[in-house]
Amino acid sequence: MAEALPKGAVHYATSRFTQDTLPEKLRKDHSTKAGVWGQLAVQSGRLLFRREDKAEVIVEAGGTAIFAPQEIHSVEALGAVEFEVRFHRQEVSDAT
Amino acid sequence: MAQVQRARPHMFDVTPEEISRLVCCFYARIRVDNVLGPVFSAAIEDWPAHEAKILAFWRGAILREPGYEGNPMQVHLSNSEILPEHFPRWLELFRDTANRELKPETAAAFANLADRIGNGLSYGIENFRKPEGAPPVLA
Repeated sequence: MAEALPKGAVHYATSRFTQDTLPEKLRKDHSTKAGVWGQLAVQSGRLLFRREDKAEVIVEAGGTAIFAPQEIHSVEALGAVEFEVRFHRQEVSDAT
Repeated sequence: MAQVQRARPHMFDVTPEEISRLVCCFYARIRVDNVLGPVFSAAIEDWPAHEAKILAFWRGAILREPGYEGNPMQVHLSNSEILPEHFPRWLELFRDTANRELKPETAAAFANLADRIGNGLSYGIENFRKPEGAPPVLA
């Protein structure tokens, strides 16, 4: 399976949520810092995914969606849902 | 920090009968559509069973009724005949059928929901199938 992230992105953390444990912070606009990509992966149910200046999408069970570093986004549980956020760090090759 | 998020009772006002009518009319058009008809015909052997499953999907999504336990993303991913470019046609046909069969406000809410689900599935397919190392699909 091709990973839908930039080449060289390294997974370093995963956070799991349900409709009952979804923090307020994630339901409001927020973003990751520079260099950090996120991948939403829905295990069951469905999740509404909003990004600034882009059409809303609903991620169904088995589906994933990506947000880019510093991209403003938020999520909303549409009923019962189980999902995780997989954080990836983009390796910087030209660092001093 | 965790907070309970109450599920909304339903996404918008629509009756099971209206959903059923839309599903029935929509798949009647799908079956004769030049682009989508062959894709569906190759994948679906039992149309009444398929429509019953889709009816349960929408009743679950909109009315929060139990009954659909499927995995839409996996179903679409596993069929290599389904392409991202099929989704705009599917959504166009769905919106047009909704406009014909439902009250304007119900049709708009239903088609907007379909857009969000369809786009999510389409992006998912693009991301899963794209060559390794290619840029991710963000919109």
